[in-house]
Amino acid sequence: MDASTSTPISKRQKLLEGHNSGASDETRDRLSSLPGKILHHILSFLPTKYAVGTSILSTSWRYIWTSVPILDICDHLLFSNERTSGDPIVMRNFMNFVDRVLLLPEVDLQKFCLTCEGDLDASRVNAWISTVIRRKVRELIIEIMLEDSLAFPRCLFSCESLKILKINFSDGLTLPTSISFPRLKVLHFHSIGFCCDESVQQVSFNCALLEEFQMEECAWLKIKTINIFAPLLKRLEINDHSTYMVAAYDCEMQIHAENLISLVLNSGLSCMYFLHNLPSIVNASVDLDSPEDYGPSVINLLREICNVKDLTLSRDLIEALFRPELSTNIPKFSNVTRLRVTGINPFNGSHLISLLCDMPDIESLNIELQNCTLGENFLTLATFPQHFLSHLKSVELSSLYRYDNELCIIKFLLQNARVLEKMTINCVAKLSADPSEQLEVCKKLLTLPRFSARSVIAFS
Amino acid sequence: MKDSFNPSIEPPKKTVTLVSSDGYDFEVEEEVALESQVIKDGFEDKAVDDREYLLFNVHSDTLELIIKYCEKHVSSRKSISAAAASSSSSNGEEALKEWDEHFISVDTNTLYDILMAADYLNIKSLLDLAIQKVADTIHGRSPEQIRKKFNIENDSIIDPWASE
Repeated sequence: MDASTSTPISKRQKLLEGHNSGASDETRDRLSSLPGKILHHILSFLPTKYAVGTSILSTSWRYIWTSVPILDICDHLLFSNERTSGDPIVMRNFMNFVDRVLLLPEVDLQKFCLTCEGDLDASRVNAWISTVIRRKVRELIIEIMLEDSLAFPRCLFSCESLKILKINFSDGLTLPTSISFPRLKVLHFHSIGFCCDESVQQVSFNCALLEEFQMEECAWLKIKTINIFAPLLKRLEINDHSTYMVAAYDCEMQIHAENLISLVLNSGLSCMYFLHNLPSIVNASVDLDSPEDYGPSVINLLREICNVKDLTLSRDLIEALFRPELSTNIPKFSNVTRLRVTGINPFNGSHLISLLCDMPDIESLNIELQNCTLGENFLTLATFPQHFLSHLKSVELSSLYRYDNELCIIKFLLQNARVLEKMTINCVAKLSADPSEQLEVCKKLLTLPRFSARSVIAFS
Repeated sequence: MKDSFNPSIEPPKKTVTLVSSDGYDFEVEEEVALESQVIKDGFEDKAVDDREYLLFNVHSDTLELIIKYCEKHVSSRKSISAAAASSSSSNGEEALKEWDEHFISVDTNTLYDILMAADYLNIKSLLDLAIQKVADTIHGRSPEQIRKKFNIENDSIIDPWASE
């Protein structure tokens, strides 16, 4: 601890005598006499159910909740102990509740959050959205289920008040051709199958202030081109590995985000991604389900992120890069300091080493050992550039069993990493359950020759 | 950052004096006092040697707690950023949250006093902490339980929602 925590208090003479420090406050209702501003603040920290519930405490409480700028409505809370939310009567009550809550005085809304697992009536959902947009909502969070796909009211897609928009529903959503969120900073889409006007098959997002964009398990149906213009975007995350919706493979997403810092692209190829001009990118994690389908454009994709410092690539992607038709064009990730390789599919360790040859500044490496092969003769035959592994300080290897090829990689790294400080090896459960076997492996590891005398091997 | 973490080589820290409503002086480090947005806003306007703030709405008992809170937050922020700079792992945020939790576990009257003082001094994190505490007390309770907890007298003749 750096700073002293004692309070330097110098007490001088009391200026005021007879101050009543409130011993008689025990039975006073101080809550109700707090200023309205503070009471609104308190109620805004409560789900709307409980905020509305305060209206029956006493006459002075009756209308306090109606001026609370935050509405957080969740069917679980409203009907937790009664019936399941699939019950039509429950759903009718739920929708009536939302209707009534939104009917009340028109204060501007900071936040409207609607969570419901039962089937809602699409036209009423649209009416609610129109209402909250008219009330200049800044944060809109919708997690609902619908019987049919939905086209939200047009006003949503050009809303000027929204700063945060999160939509999650397991169904289709029809988008207008041009979407513009002039003040939006955070945009999350989850489990949505996007559609649009079939005659155009094109959608563009214009988000001048957007900083964070997340798309989880979304698919683009009957849309050929998606253009995203987000000049201030810092974080982009796309995860559509397990999307169950039929993907339109001929769909392209063009991403224009010249201030992007962090990219996560884990794609089962529901569409092809094109990145344009990312000079400030620092972190990138890329995993494509079947990278060979991407063809040469995978090279273009990686070329846009080749300036990153922190890189995560999947084994499949690396393997795809080293196929003969692409291998001559592999971009050089020469600024990388941290590399992580994900996945457990069969992997040729020499491809990893080729990548490392072009990463003179690499300091930290993280990879699974399972199914990772490196020929014994590779160690003696290959020659490496002078800077090879000259900054590598930390290596983390997981899923060690005790196959020779795994030990071969460990051996290689220990022999070549000149300034290695720490190598962490985690073995598979089967091996860690067998102490005598483990000891055997451990002994073997410790006898391996090391370049860096001060390196430590942590084994678990 | 110009901050050095060794107290022995630090220059003497600038202090300001906060005067409570009942006339006690509290001498605190400037950066601790600046946790209050109100003091921060007034700071630039003040003459250099006038470093006294009269807090007409804050009793000494409450002010002592508020200062304790601000000091803890200033020092925790420093150690968290120091840990981040040396990229050593730290559970500073977690520990501070726990400390906050413990700090705000006070009787209802003290809670109101802290709440009003945090509002008056505009210390947002403390105001939110106190408000959250009140909200947690209401959350999940029946109207009757809430009335009892907060001494609210039910003066409504007809329950407007009773017919539902």
